[in-house]
Amino acid sequence: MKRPEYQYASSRAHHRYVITPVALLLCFLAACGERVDKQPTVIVDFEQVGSVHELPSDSSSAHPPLRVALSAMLSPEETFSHYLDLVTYISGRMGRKVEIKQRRSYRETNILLEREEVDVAFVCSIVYADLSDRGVVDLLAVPVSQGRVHYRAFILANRSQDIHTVADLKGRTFAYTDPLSFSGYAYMQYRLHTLSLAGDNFFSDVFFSHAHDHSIRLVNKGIVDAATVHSLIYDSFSAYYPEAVKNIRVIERSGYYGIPPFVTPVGTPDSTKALLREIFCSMHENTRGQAILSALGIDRFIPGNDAEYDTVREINRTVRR
Amino acid sequence: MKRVAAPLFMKVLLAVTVVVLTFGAINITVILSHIRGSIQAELDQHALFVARSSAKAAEHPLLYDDFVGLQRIVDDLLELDSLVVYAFIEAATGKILAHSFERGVPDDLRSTAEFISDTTLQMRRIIPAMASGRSILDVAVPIIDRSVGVMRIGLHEDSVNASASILLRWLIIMISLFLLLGITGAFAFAHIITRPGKAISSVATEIARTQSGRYTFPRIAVNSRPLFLQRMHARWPDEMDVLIEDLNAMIERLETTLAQLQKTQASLLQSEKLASIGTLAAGIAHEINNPLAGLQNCVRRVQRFPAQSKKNEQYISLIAGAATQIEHVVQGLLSFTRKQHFELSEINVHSLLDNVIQFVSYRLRSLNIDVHLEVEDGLPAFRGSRNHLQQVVLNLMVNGIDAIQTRAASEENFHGELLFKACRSGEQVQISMRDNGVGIPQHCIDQVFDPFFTTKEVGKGTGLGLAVSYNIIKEHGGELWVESEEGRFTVFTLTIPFSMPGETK
Ligand SMILES: Nc1ncnc2c1ncn2[C@@H]1O[C@H](COP(=O)(O)OP(=O)(O)OP(=O)(O)O)[C@@H](O)[C@H]1O
Ligand SMILES: [Mg+2]
Repeated sequence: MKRPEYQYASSRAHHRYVITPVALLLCFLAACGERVDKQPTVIVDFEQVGSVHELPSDSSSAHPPLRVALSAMLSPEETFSHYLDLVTYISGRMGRKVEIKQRRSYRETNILLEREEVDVAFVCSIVYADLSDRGVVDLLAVPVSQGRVHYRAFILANRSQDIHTVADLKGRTFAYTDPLSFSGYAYMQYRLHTLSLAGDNFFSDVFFSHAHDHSIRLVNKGIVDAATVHSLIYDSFSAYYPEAVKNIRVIERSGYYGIPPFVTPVGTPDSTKALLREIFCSMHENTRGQAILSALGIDRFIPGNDAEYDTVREINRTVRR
Repeated sequence: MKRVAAPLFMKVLLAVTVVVLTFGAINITVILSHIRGSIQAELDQHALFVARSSAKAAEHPLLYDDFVGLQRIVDDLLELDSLVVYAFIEAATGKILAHSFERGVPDDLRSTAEFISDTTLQMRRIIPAMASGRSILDVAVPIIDRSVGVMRIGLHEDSVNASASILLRWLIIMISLFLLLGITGAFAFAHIITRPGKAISSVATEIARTQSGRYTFPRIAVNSRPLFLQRMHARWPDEMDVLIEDLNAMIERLETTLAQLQKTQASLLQSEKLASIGTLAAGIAHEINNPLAGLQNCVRRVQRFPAQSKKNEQYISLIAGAATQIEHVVQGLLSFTRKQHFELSEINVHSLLDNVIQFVSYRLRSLNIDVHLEVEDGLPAFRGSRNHLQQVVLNLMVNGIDAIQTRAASEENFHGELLFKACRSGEQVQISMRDNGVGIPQHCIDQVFDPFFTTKEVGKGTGLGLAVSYNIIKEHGGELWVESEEGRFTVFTLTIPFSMPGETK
């Protein structure tokens, strides 16, 4: 039986209708199937070990790195990021690599200085007072902040607590910074001593936060009732992060005491000391140095006067007794 | 008769398979790549989170040169997260501060640490060199800053492929299931669709093969479907059901039509015979009556005046003539009954009409009917079968006389008239007969030529006169038609070509 012609025609047309979507589909699948790998692929031999060594310091023995110890005025990462530029600047001026050393407590920093494992250190006033008395360090440079070479201790309390004087602190929880801190420990001890409140049971509990910013945070959150801190750090907090001091009442501001200085171990060669002092004290004279200083809230560095720390020495002696 | 080259089932199956496979392929590709992408993204996210949080945790120990603390972070990482393959902390100097390897940090890992920038972390895919190596996602995150240290961790990437392959297996199972379902469905569908079609085609074939003489045909069976489907179809008939129903009705009509046709054929055969008989009887009656009447008249005169020998001799010769005429008629009728055939001769219209009028002159006279003849001058003779045409004109006249008689019976002072007109109409002679009888009612006019149609009482009319006449005229290649107005007149008109096309018959 012969089929009519139109059937062939229509079947041809059908083929076209089938082929087009199938082709489109194939294209689509091809596009989908191609997986996009964002990450590069590397082949690693896990058996091959030990032939790569530490990068050799380019000036190995002739120019050992300048070791700078930073006492934890702030929490270590804050301290690091705050002083990195300063340290890098000094490193650049000296033409030496720099190694920053931080320790959890002031005592550990002291040990570094005593063993001359650092070349420069930024220490607390009372640490300087003590170490200079013991002939361990020399004064290198003193920062001038807000026009003066002094700072204070602020005694803070959480606003929700009915604390207005040092006497109100009885039976409260209290946060010190470090046993070797002036504003964060010694001054408070001195105040208690002068008020004849010193005794093991005055506070209900005592903590060491190892950083002034930690202490501020603890009081602001009400985790401890009160704390004593570095006035300049508190001021910069209240200036830059008002939220961070919202719940804090300053119940007492101390008198002015010598500001924490940069020191060098006594064994440091005089030429190095002179060079370092010159670098520090001329920082404010160039724009790069000026920028770094203003970021730290420092006007400039001056060689400093050991006598500025006599009051601190006095308090240290009183507290030690 | 194998005319089906690609069964419906195959086509449906192909369509279903193509559709299922197409959608399956789309699903597999789209879903898989999507899922793989999201699992990958999740892993990336996880790796990032783990690396960042450990880097954060490592900040203090690193700044304090607390190697114990750093090693604890690395150890904790491996202990807490089963995905972590390795972890190590590298100082900016390249010094390894803590690591999780048994022998040491692989050289390849150390030398490949490259950051996009100081803060952007790096992510790479690592394929271990050993044979059984599983793909590892390597993440490097700076601790505080790149110049301080870098936290590096490696996470198993297999989890992505494992989840993806499980999904793939499920998808394939599902698609196979769909395919199976689709094929089964195609089977069922094609079966349901093609079954009535097959039934129809087999019945059609059988009917086509049926030899004439058999008038019962098979019907298309609807009950070839499963019972539940039958019920369903009874309630919701589809196109196929309607088609089958219509076809069955058609077959039934075909059957009855065929039966009727057969019956009609048979009865037509019968009526043809009857018609010949009727014609014969009429012929006998009409053609014998006149000479018989003349004969009786002569006999009566001879009886009344037996002495008038001279006159009687004349009468006797008349009687002989009449007898001869009767004999002639009987002879003609005999031959007519034996075989109906036309004996063509030249017929003069005038003599044809005169002869017939002679036949019925007795009735015309007794009913006082006037007969007029209007024959066109010089109308030529035409060829035809005299006997048959006389029979036609006779039939028409008898019908006309009957109609006049009927009208006269109910109408006083009615005067019957018959008017014959004959004239030439092109190549034909046209003869019409008009009577002023009862006429034919409008609803009957289409039936008057039907065999056995009569309005006359039983025994008087057979209803064959006009039917036979019609046939005779048709045989002559002419036409016969009627015009009438009820209660006033009836005109029958016939035409006959002067010379018939197939002359000798
Ligand atoms: N001239 C006519 N006037 C009125 N009716 C007529 C006339 N001719 C025919 N008919 C109607 O047509 C019918 C059929 O006529 P037709 O000659 O075929 O049969 P019939 O005369 O009845 O019987 P028959 O077989 O004896 O002639 C008549 O019964 C009559 O009713
Ligand atoms: Mg009649």
